[in-house]
Amino acid sequence: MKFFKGKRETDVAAFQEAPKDFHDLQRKLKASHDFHTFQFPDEEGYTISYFNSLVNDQKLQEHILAVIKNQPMRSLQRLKGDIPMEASKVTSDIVIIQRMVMAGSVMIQTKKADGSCLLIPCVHSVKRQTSIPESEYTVAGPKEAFVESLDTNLNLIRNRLPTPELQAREFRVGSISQTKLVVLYLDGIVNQQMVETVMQRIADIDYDTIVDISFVGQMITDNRNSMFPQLIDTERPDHLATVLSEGKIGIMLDGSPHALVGPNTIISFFSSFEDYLQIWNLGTSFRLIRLFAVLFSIFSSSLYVAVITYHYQVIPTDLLPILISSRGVIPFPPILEAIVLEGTIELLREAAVRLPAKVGSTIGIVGGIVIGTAAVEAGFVSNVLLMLVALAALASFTVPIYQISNTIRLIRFPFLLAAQLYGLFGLVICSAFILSHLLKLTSLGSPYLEPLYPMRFHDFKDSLIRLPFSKQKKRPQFLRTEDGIRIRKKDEARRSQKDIDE
Amino acid sequence: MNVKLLLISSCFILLSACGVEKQILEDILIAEIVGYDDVGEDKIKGTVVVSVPQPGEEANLGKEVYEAISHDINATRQQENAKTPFPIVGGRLTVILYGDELARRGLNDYVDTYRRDPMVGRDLYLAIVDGKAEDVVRMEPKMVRTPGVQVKELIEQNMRTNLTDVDLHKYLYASHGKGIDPVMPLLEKAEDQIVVKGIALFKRDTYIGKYIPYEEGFLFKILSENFKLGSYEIKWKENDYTNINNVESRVRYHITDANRNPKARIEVNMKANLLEVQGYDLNKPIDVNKIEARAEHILGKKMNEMVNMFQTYNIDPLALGDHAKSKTRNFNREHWEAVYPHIPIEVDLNIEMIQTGISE
Repeated sequence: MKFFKGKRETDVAAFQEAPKDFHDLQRKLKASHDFHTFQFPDEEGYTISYFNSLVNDQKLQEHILAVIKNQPMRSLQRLKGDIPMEASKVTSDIVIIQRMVMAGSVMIQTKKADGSCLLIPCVHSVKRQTSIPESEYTVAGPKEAFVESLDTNLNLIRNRLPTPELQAREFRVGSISQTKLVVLYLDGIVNQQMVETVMQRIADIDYDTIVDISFVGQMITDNRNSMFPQLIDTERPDHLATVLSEGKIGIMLDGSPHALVGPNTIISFFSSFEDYLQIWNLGTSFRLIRLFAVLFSIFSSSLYVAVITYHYQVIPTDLLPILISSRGVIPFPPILEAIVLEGTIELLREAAVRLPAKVGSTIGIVGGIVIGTAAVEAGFVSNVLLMLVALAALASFTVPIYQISNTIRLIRFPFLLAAQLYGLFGLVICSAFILSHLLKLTSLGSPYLEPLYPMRFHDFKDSLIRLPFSKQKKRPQFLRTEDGIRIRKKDEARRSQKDIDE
Repeated sequence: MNVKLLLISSCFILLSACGVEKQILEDILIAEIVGYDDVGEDKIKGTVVVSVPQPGEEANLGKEVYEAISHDINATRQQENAKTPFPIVGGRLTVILYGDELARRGLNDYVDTYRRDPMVGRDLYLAIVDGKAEDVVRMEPKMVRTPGVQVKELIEQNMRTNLTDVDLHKYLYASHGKGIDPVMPLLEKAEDQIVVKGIALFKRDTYIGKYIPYEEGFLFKILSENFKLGSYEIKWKENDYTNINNVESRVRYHITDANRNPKARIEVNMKANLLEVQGYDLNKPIDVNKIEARAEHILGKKMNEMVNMFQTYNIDPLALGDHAKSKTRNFNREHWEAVYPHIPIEVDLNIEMIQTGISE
């Protein structure tokens, strides 16, 4: 916080030197080629000026120019009444004029140079159609994802939660970008203290240009140096709507097709939204498989190094010949072998992300077949390790949240080094370090390892396992909600009577 | 902050030398089986089989045999290392074999190093070889890769039916415990095969030269532990044999008046089924009770003979002394040891045939 607090000022717009007077402002605006100024309807008429790039041409002609042309000259106040556009304004405040013009308003002046002008919002903005979610794709369930436009995103959420309790508090962040930011929560459910925390942290943001919600995420998170993300980045409106009704807080930014969700526990980073879309026992099994895959992904190569380097005793008898003969021809010690292979996989991943999709598939072929096979045949790496590393990479792709999958990618390397230094003992030491870090970590002030630590038995219903909806009677305890009850009806005993019995 | 950083970095620098000894898999020779023989003049000969990796795509393991003669086991290990390109390590040792002559001299000195070495696991088998241990170690097994695995799997397989549960841990408990004596599998090289000959009997750590034959091993196992497998052949009449199959057997020891006039009763309850019946007309209903009574009589007699044999040699592989101690307040060990060879021990066998197969 300190770093950003340094030069904080109360008015977010204060960076932009307020123009001294109207002429100064006009001079600045006219420096741009897309700023148009002309007299209308004739030389004696109004002065109309606007940014061509920001204003909707059709609206301008149909609703503004047409009205002006058909009427005699009037005062700005009268004109404002004649033009049927909302939120238009007559003002002489230079700061407001500047802000509104920059936001796509048409500025209309009379010949009387008294400095007051009529500002009519007439924004033309480029919007993308909502498309299907890409990073959080699910086979079942809704196929809508957030887009860059904040209005569209809010619309998606309000459609899902049609209640006045859904409140959206607006902020402007970024001293230059002046980006619109909205904090969303369900009043009466959410813990007000958490909302205050979030809003205070957002108010503390001081940076020039905020273009994406991940900037905000990094600035308001509890521990900014932790590799473990504490806020979830989601692109699914259904996901956001669900967690809002649990009592979490959502943050959306204009221009960013993602929403931030908090507070979270570490388990929520490994639970896909798809877990809720299928029956609870299947959902639970797949969630457990995913958790196992994460553990496997973190530990497999370091366990290999530890066992091969120090603990030949633990290798089962039947596996021993396979391991020895695959290791026999390798000129490197196990640690180098593992680092070479892990490094290759990281290169492949990084290259596949950077390349366009059509070329990306080629990378898979080049990486998987050519490099893998060639490395084994050349005797650089053993095929057992190749298999382990490939499996580990595969396992890490099962993680549904992109941010934590990056964490898992990187966290393998300290484990590798520890395994080389002290074997299994080193792995234990390294795990202890990471566990103690996780114990200390909080997400918007609530413990990160909950419900494992602190042990809250009730919250297990939706953590490692997911129980059926009928068992989800209460909202998660760690959210400290004002209204903790989800299901008000007492029991389902009546159901059997209502059912038709043939 | 700077102090913290300094502390952390100095930790890395100072601790970087505190490494553990590396034993990279392909840079060691993993001993699989080791045999010790008496060569006279207080010397022993150690023979060890190590698996040697064969480079190549297939997982082939060759084997190499090294031997050395010295006074104690660690010295033989050292001498073996003098002949090998990599150190020989014992962490995956599966079986230790002793020649019977060495075993007759007492094994304490030659088991000791395996007891102390933290690298050696406790689930390794000890066995006596009738003859030279070296002969078994040098065998070229047919089915399984190396003699180590061969012997280990041989013992494990037979432990299900005819051998009692014997590993290093059990041996150490029995040979150092009071009122209990260890046993070991007795192996033998028969032409090109390794054969379990029986159960070798010990007084403390010394092989007394007697053994229970392989077939009778089933009876010994019934007497010493609860188990669920195995079968025994009973001679019925001339040329007629019946094979009863153990489904579940339970043994309980009742020892009374251990401090003055001890009496022991070993109660064995066995559920069995009949697998093979000769000399009976299967068209008539078989009188199961008659078979039960007959089997109880024959088996009981053999068991009694076996227990009496233990008393004759003053050994206690059934751990009766141990059981007596656990059931008696102020147990007088000297008295027990003095009277043990003469106390009445009764084996009370109940067989219940729970299944006799199909009959008309």
